[in-house]
Amino acid sequence: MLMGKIAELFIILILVSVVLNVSSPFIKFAIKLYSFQSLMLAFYILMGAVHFNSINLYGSFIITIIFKVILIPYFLFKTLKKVKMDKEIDMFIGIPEAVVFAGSLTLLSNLIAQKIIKTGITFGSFVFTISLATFLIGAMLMITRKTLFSQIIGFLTIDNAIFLAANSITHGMPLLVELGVLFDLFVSILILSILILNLRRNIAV
Amino acid sequence: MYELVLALPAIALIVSVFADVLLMSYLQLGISILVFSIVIAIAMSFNSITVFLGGFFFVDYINLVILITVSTLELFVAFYSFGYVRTEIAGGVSKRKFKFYYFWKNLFIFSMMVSILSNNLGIYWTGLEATTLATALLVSFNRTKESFEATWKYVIMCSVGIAIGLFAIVILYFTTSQVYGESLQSLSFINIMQAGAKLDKNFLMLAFLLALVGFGTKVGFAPMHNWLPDAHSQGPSPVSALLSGVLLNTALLGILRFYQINGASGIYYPRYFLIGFGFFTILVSAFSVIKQTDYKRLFAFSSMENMGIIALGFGIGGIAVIGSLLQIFFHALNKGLLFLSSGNVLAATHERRIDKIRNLSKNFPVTALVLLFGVMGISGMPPFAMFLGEIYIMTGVFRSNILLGFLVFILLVFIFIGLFVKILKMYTGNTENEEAGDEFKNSKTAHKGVDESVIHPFMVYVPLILLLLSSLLLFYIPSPFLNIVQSASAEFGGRIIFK
Amino acid sequence: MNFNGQHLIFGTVQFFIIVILAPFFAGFIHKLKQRARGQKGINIFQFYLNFNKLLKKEIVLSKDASFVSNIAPYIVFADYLVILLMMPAFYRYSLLGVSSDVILIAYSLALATFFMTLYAMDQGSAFGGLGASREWFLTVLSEPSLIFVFISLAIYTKHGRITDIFYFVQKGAANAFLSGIHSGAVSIAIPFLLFISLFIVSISENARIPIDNPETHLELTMFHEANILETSGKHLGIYEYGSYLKLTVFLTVMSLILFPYMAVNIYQIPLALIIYVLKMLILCILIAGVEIVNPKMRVFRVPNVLSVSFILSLIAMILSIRGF
Repeated sequence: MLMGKIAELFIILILVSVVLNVSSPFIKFAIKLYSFQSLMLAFYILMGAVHFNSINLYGSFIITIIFKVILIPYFLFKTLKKVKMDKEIDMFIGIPEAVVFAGSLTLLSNLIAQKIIKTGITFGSFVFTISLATFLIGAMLMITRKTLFSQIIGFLTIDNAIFLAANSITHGMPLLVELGVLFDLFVSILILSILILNLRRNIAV
Repeated sequence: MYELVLALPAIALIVSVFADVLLMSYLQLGISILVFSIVIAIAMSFNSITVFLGGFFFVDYINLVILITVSTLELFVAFYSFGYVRTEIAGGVSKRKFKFYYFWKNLFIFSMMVSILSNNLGIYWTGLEATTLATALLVSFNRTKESFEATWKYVIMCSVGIAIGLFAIVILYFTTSQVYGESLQSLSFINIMQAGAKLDKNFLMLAFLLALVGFGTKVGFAPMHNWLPDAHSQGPSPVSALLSGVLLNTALLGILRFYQINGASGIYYPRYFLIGFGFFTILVSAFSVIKQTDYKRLFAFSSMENMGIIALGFGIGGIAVIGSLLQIFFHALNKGLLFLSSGNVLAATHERRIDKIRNLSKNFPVTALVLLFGVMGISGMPPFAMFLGEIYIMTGVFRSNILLGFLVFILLVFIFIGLFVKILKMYTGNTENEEAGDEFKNSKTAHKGVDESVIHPFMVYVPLILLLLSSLLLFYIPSPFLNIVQSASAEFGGRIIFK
Repeated sequence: MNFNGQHLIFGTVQFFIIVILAPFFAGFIHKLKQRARGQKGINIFQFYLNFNKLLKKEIVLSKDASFVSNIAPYIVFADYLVILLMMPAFYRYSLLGVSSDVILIAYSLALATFFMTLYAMDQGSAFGGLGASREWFLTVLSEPSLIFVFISLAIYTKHGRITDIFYFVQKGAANAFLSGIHSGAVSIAIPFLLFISLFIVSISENARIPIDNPETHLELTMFHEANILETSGKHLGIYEYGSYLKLTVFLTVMSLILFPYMAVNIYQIPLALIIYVLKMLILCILIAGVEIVNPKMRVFRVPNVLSVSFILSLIAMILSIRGF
């Protein structure tokens, strides 16, 4: 049970890092927060691996760390340095409003999760609520920020949320599939970095 | 034999890294012909669902329809690329750039084959995402500002959509892992269909909805269609043809798989969602077609509309399913010929706007003719093959709900008018210009003095052959193909058992 | 009412200990900051000597001041004393524990701010108005977080009084650790969120560096200091002691969230006292650390941080309503 509570702590830290992401206009900080968030996700997977003692989850833990905590932030930092984008970003709604909106999205995801639980689907409802909230806040990040990097970070956050939800319902996807998914994600980040190098400015979605 | 369908594009992929571009174009021709003949051989001798490569891949009737579509279109596009490469190189583009064109194109075809043929839903997902990435750099091939923005929108929107599709697969995995345990077996489509009624209905419905929205982004359903006109118009023409013709169908295959799974476990109301999205897509594209000023965007919206019609057909069920399956094949041919011939116009005149192109018939006789008749074909007029597909679908729609049938019919008429009026203007080039004197003629028509000899003959005649093929198919469809289509529709209605 | 002599005696003892220790903790933070800057640092007990010195000095009021200026400092001081009377720092039965409703505590803090700013405006100088408006700016942004923190605690433990709340958490935590069985009342996530939220609010309310720097005398950067810039003598002494008491209130609540250990009878009191002082010192080190590391934030950035604290407490409230 103690393990369960510690796992809860990791999950909550993911949500905290997303909210901090919304509250800060700095891109470097956002990438670091993404790396932290993926680390928390990896630890959550590790707890699951220790609890259920499955090789699948151990492997998933390792590849999550390699791809999401180390490689992808590294590439994003490199691209950021090359592009020399302004550190502060312009946005459609101000930061306190965005943070409060993120809070209301959490409320909304809570309501949705409760509705889903009522229909008899009972998976780890705490983790599902948090993952849905992370998904919505990540989508909000994509929509309300004007820099291209924020769209990438928002997309990566959405992907993390889906991974979190996947790991909460099942005992991890088969390793082959997860490897494919992460590899695809990595290649898409590479391609997006190339596109950023060619675009080099803010576009409004 | 089945493995060759996957292996050949992989070989082409590897070779394209090393070979010179002109040599590569010959090789591409050869490999496409080989793949096409293998697929025809498979189609002729196909009588039951076959699994290969360790249970990860399989061929069933619906797969086979799309496989035939892909290989046919790829054959013609390979011929067209042959000419396209030579024309562009003669026009001053570097050879190195085209090397990477062939690399990405072969990666695209390979991952599409992997996606279409896959039994395992996780591999399907990986292949689909890989196609997004492979086409991304192809769409931005011209390196203009618009093409980069189009690529950005394309990658971000499709990746988010496909991520939602991943969530759908996860939920499905959760359900099936309760029957098959947690392994790769519970993602295998054949196993899932066999488990049918044992799966939890709530979850299946949720998974279908998520897949509909997620993969639907990649198909181009409205309101998730914003990337489609930009991405399909900014890429080089053979790429646009492939994107419109087959990639949208590959994404649709995912939705159809989820639909089949739902059907196998007795849930029948997903069809209303499919009908709803299909109808909404037709509606949005009908109203968007009227306002377009770029002819490639026009055709992209037409692709969107046809996807809507196909989805509508699958949703209605019954006889409309046969229409949709036929429509998948015929639309690929027809849209291919439209994009290829408009690519000719673009390659010769470098002009994208409709109102700047007039009097095509004078300088580009073959291309203009193909464009005109192609537009007639894509709207479903006889004597072109899409007439058959649309008749079946409309029959199904009218049988189920007359009001819906009338609405769809009116929307189709809108689209026909929109397309036809603009293309007719391009074709004839009458009115104000010629009365105003010589200087106006120079400024209004962008291609004075340019004619078809600028472009390679392959580029000119391939669309013509496609057009003739499309017309021929209305009157005579090879019976193996008909059998396949009928079996596919039976399978879709759930009457073929997976063993 | 449970009139227990033992509770009365030890409650009074607890109250006096906390009140007397208040300047010590503030001095400790100050000394840490100065040490980090490389200065030798003031004596830890310097603030007691300051208080003593100020009490003997003459009060100078502006000629526009009304009767409010005579009574406001005492009201503020008394208010903080009342709040501390309710606090169960290390003994479960504080003197006013029966009426220590959490909302009452939150509003008492606001009452103290009200009178302080009333005093500031009463002086009739420009600084007074400036300080008052800035003080309320901060309070308005941080008070929702504070209230949500308290409400989350109340909903989560289903008790209204602060003594009962933390006793409930203490029992639940003890159960979980000793027997290892799932007791359902202890969650790590919610106290964690509450702690972060309350920490940010403490920094804002107690005029600590990322948000406010009381050592500065530039009018552009003053928040809290502008209110008491013109006070002198006894009033200044009382205000300063009041700010130490406010710091103690916040630190005590945070220490209770961190690890509640309240003595129930006489034998547990020494241990509880030691643990309490230890927790407070740790929190002081934490606050000093935050002050040392961060430069003062631009005023426009302040709502960003406070909104994060608000949302975190909102999330904690959502979770506690859900019943995790």
